[in-house]
Amino acid sequence: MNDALPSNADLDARLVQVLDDYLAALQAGTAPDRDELLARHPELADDLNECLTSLAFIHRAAKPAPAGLVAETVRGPELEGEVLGDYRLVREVGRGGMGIVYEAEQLPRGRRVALKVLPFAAALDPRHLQRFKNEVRAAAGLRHANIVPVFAAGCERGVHFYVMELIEGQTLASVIADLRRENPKEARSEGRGMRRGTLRFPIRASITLARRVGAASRAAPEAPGTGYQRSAALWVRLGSPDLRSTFARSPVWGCRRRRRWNMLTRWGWSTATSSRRT
Amino acid sequence: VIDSHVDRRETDVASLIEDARKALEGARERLLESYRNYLRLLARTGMDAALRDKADPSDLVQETLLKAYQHFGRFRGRSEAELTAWLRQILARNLTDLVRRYRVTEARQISRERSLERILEESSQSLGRLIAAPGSSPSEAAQRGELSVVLADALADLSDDHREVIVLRSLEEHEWDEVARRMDRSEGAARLLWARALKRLRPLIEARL
Repeated sequence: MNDALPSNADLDARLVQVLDDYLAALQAGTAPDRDELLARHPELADDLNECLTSLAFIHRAAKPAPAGLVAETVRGPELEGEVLGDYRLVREVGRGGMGIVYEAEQLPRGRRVALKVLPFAAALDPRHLQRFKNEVRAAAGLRHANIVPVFAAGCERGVHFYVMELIEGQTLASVIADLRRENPKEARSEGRGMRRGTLRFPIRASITLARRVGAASRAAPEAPGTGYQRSAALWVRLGSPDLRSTFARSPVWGCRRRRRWNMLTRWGWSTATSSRRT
Repeated sequence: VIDSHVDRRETDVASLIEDARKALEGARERLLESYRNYLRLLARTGMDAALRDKADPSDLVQETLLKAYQHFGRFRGRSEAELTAWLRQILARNLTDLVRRYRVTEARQISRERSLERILEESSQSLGRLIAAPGSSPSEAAQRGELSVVLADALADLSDDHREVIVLRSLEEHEWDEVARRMDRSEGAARLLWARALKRLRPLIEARL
């Protein structure tokens, strides 16, 4: 090769080392100042400068998006007000790792529903799409008063979505937060129930919806804790990429129930991710 | 330099998309052809070695461009970022079809070293992670989308070895022993090759900015 790199093997090795360190720093998000780096290695200056330019450009052109930004492509004005099939999206009500939930209107009937959309970018990844489909299938197969029912699923102009009952209420997390503020004693019983084994699942409060029941709660929001159904609607999110961490993080899950925990996780995980025999 | 390039390119591409939509003579071909290198790089990183033995990434790209040409009427976007997202979607679908096709074949020959499922797993991982990544804001996404097209074009002009080492090390971020194994060289040789490739790449990038 007739490249103008120093023929000196020692210089070559040092150049590679500096570049490698720089790449590692770029990946860690702590790239050192270039001028400083060049000044520190004057013997490599020309070659190093050229190589650093290439490296920095590659990194800028192809660096992976930070987690959570993927959903940005379908956010806000792009979908709010849009019509997907029979549904007109009214407003965003929440978002998570697997999708964005909108309040929507079913056009012919005017019924209000919740519509969950798989972010466009996630649909590009066959695994995400498969998980989303598994989630729809699993959720549609479950019928229980405390699980949000799925009405329909579809794909419109490349946007995958499914339709659920719209639960008027708030997440269990915010109910608990309210309870804590108003009545610390009441809120703690949730954790006690878990420890006593009366609650069968570690509930992740942010994905659990508490349905408002009765007129009393609407009339007297200053008395939270009385108006919410005790058995909150549990929104089973099979196939969520963070499913494992959801369960793994649960602090109240004792050793005695370890076996059941494992079964749950394995079942959920394999149902959610298996594409072996589809 | 990069930012002014991005602005200029944005207007160029937008007007070309407009022409292509109006079905002006040759506009559609010209527009889509300029993404061949980009798609090939994606296909290359999306298909791992075992799959590449069975199918040529260039065929996959050809198929993708053909479909894009035929169905251009369905493309609604105006910007390059939207166009590349659309092309990636077609490519990803073709890639999935391809893997599914081979999975059927594979089911008949049971004694394979690695399951194709794992190949799909890894493939889609790098495909999804590497370039299907939009930025934190629309403009940043557009910019990154364009820069990866520039990068793909520059890489296409490198020699095969140089391109391979950059893809393995800088894009797919393999450890050096793995890079060396895949390139059938010693680690020291692979590292040196990488430095040379980076040096060669710089003027190729600059010529496109």
